[in-house]
Amino acid sequence: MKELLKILHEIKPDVNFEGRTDLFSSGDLDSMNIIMLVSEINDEFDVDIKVPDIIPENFNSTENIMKLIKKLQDEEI
Amino acid sequence: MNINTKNIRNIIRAVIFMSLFVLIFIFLSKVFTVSGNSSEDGMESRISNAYRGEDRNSLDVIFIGNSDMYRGISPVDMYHVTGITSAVSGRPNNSLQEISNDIDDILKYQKPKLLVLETDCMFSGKNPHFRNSKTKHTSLFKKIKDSVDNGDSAIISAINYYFPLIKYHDRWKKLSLSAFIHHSRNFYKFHNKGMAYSDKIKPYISQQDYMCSSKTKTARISSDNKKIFKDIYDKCKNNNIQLILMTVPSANTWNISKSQATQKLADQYGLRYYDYNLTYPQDFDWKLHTKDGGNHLNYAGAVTVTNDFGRKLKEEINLPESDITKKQKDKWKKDYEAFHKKISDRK
Amino acid sequence: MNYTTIVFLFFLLATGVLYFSAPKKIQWGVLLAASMFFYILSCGVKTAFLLAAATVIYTGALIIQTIEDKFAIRKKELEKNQRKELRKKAERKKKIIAAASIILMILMIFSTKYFNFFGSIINQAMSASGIGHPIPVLKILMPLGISYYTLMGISYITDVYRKTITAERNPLMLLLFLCYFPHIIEGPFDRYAPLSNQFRQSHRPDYDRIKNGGIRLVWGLFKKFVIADRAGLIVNTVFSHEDMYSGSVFIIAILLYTLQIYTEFSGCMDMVCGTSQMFGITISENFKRPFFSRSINEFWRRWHITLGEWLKDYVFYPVSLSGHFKKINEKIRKHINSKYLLALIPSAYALFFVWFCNGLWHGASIKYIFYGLYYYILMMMGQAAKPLSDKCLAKLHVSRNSHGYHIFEVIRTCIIVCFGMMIFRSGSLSQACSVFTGIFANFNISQIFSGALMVKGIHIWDYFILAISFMLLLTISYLQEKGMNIRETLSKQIIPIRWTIYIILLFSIIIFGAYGGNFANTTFIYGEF
Repeated sequence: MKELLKILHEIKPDVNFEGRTDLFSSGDLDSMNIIMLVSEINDEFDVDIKVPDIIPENFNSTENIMKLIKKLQDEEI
Repeated sequence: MNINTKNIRNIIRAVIFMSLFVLIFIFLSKVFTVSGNSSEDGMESRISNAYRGEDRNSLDVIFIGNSDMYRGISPVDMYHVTGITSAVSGRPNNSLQEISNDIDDILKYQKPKLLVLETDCMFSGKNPHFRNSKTKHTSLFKKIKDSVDNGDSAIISAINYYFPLIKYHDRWKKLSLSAFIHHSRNFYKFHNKGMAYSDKIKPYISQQDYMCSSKTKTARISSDNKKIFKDIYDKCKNNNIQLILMTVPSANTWNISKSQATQKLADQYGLRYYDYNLTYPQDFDWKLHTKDGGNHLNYAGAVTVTNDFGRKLKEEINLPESDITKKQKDKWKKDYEAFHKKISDRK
Repeated sequence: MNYTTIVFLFFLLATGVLYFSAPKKIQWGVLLAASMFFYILSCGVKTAFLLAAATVIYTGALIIQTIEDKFAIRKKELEKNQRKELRKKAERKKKIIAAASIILMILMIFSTKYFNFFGSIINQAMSASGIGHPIPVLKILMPLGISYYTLMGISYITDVYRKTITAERNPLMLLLFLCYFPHIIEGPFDRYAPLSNQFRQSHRPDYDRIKNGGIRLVWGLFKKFVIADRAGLIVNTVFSHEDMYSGSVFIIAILLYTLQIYTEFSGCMDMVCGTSQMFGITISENFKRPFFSRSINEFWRRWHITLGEWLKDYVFYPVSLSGHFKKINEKIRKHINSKYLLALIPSAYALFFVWFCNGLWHGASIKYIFYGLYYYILMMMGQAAKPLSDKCLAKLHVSRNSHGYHIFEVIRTCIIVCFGMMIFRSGSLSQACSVFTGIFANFNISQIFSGALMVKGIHIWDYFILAISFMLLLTISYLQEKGMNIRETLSKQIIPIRWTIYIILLFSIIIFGAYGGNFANTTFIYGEF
C-alpha cells in the first residue's frame, strides 16, 4: 500500500487519495493519469494490468487498486 | 388509484391534449392563410381566382376546367385578337363538383356572357394506347421507397389543402394583430388572368391516332357527374350565361368515345361543343405544342387554341367586343404588354 | 427515411403498436424488423455491407469464444507450465481472429468512405515517382451508418477477445445491435452488453416513459428546426461566398456554425434518445452541456461522449499499454530528463493516434485530420506548459479555483472550440486558412452593421428568434448543469402550465421552424460521416 500511495502522490501531488471511493469517477484520476499509474504499477509490482481491468470499480479507491494488484499477482493461468 | 383508472385517465388526457392541439392548429391555419390573391399565394390563386382581381363584371367569358384548360387558353392574347375580355379559372385535377362550386364564387364577382367548360374533368381513366415514359413497371421496393420519400410532401399537401398552417408558417414575420380578426383584403391582379405559362417542348409522337384506338370502351359520364352537370347548366340558364363545351387537344386522356359521349350530352342540352381533338386548331402541331409529351399544351399550343376559339367566338357565336371603359381597355392593353414582356425577358 | 419527417412519426407509431403487442420474448424482433425496414429503404442493395459486417463479427466472435471455452476445459487436465504454453497458443489464435475480423471491417469502410481519399494519396505518391494515376476516382455512395456500425462492431469483437463479454449466439441480436434504427444515422456508440440486455427484457407500454420520450423528441426537433437550420442558412451563405464577406462577418458565421452543429447534433441525440426511451431502451448520452467546460480535455469528455469513450477504450489504452510502446518508451526515456515530461510520454504517444483517428473518422480528407491534430497539439502544449502556467498564476496571485478564473477558462475553451469549428466547416484546409487570415486582415466591423448579415431569406425577426431560443437553450443547460431534471420538474407542474409549455413548444417548431420556401433542404451534418 505504501508504494502505491507513493506512486499516486507522484502522479498527482495535490490530491488526497486515502479513504475515498470516487477516484476514477470524480475525474481526479483521468485516463492520462491512469496510463501513468498503470505503467508504474506494472513495473513496481511486476503485474500486467490489461485494458479490460481499467474499469471504475478497480480504480475508485486505493483499497480496490491493491485488490486488483493482488488478484493479478495470484492469478491462475 | 389502481392501474386501470390511471391508464384511462392518461388516455383521456392524451386525447384532450391532441384535440386541443388540432383546434389550435386549425385556428392558426385560418390566421396565417393568405386570403384573396396576394402574390405570395403562389400558383394556386393565380390560376383559380384570377377573376377576382379583375374589375367587377368586366369579364365576358370565363374558361373553366382542369390543368388542360389553364394551360390551353391565354386570355390576354384572346383580348388582343378579339377585343373580348376573359379569364381562366382552373385547378389541377379539378372535379366537376369543384367547378360547380367555383361557378358560385365567380358569380359573386363577374357576370360573364359565356362560360366555356373544358370537358376532360367529366371523365376519368387514361387512354390505353397513350405511352408515357413514366409508366414503366416499378418494383414493389421502388413503390414503397417512392411513397416513403414522397410521403411527407403528400401528407403535408393534404394537410395544407384544408389547413395550410405549414404552407404559410413563414408568414409569422409579416403578421399583424389584425390578421387574427378576419377582414377582407384587396385582391391582387394577375397578368396571366388564370393561365399557366410554359415554354417547354416535349413532342407527342405516336404511330396510332389516340382518338381512334379500337380498344377504347364506350365512355360513360357517371350519374353523379350528370347530376352536377345539370346543376351547372341550370346555374348558367338562371344567370343568362351561355354554356359552351370545349375540349383542348390532349392525347393522354381523350378519345373518340369520350368525344361522342360529350357530343351526346351537348345535344341533349342544346349546347355548342368544340372538340379540338377531332379538328385541331389551325397551325396546331403535336411536335411543337405540348410541354409533356401529349398531356398538356405549352404556351405556343395555347396560342393556336386561343386564336382559333377567338375566331369561333366572333364568327360562329357572334360575341361582340367587350363593352368596357377606355380606362379598362388601356389596362388590358398594358396587361397584354406586361405578359409578353415577361415572356421575352425569360428568353 | 429521415428522423425529421412526418412519415417517420407514422413509422414510430406503427412500430410502437407492433412492439407493445408482440409476445415478450420476441419484442426485440419487432425492433429488428423495423430497423431493417428503415435500413433497406434508405440503402437498398448497400445493405449487403451491413450484413457482411454482421457476419464477420458474429463468426469471428464465436470462433474466439470457442477457443476460449476449449482452453477452459482443457486446462483442468494440465500442469502449470503446460497450461502456460496452451494459454499462449490460445491467446495467439484469438488475437489473429480478432485482428482479421477488425481488418475486414476496416477494409469495408475504407473501400467506401475512404476509397477516393486513399486513392488520391496513392496517386499523388505514384505521380511524384512518375508512374501516373493508377487509382481511378469512383463515385461511391456510403452505406448508411457505416462509420457508426463499424466502430460498434469493432468494440463488440474486441470486448469478446478481452473476455469482457461472451460471444452472442444469436446472429439476429447482433444484427439488431448494429442497425438499431435510433442510432444508425448519427450514433451514439453503445456497447454490446448494456444494449443487448435491454433488448432481451420485456417492456410494457408506460405512459410516463412514452410521454417523457416524446417531450425529449420534440425538444430535439425544436433545436434542429428552429435554431440549427436557421443558423445554417446564414452560415452556408457566408461560407459559399467567401469573397463577399469581411472577417467580422465570418466571426459571426463561425459562432453561428458552432451553435448550428451543437443544436443539430445534440438535437438529433435528443430525438433518438427520446425515441428509444419510448420503447424502454436507454441509449448512451452523447452530450453533457459541453460549452460549460473549463478545458478542451473536459470539452471532449462532454462533446460526442461516446466517440471519446470508444477512442479511449479501443485506441488510447491499447496503444499506451501495448508491448511495442513499452520498447519505444524505454528508448525515449534515455533522452529526457524532466520527470514531468517523462510521465507525459505514454499519453502523448497514444493521444496522437486517438486524435488522428478522431479526425479521420469525421471525414476522408486532410482537413479533418488537421482538425483532430489541432486539438492534439493544443492539448499537449497545455499539458507540457502546466508547470509554467502554475508558476505564472501563483505569481499573479490567481487561484485556479477562483470564480473569475473559472469564467476565463470557459471563455477560452469556447474560443478554441470555435476556431476548431472554423476548420471543420471550411470546405478545405486552404479555405480554413484563408478564412482565418481574413479574420485578422479584413476585419472590417462596419460590414456587420451595413446589412451583410441579412442574407437572402433571412429577416431581422430571424435573428430575434435565434436570440430568444439561444437564451432558452442556455437557461435550460444552466439548470441542468446545476442538477435539475427538466422533465421531472415539468411533470410536477399543474396541467395548464405543462400543457401551455408543450403547445408553445410544438407550435414554435411548426411556425418558427426554418423549413420550406426560403430555407434550403437540410440534412443531418453528422449523418454524412
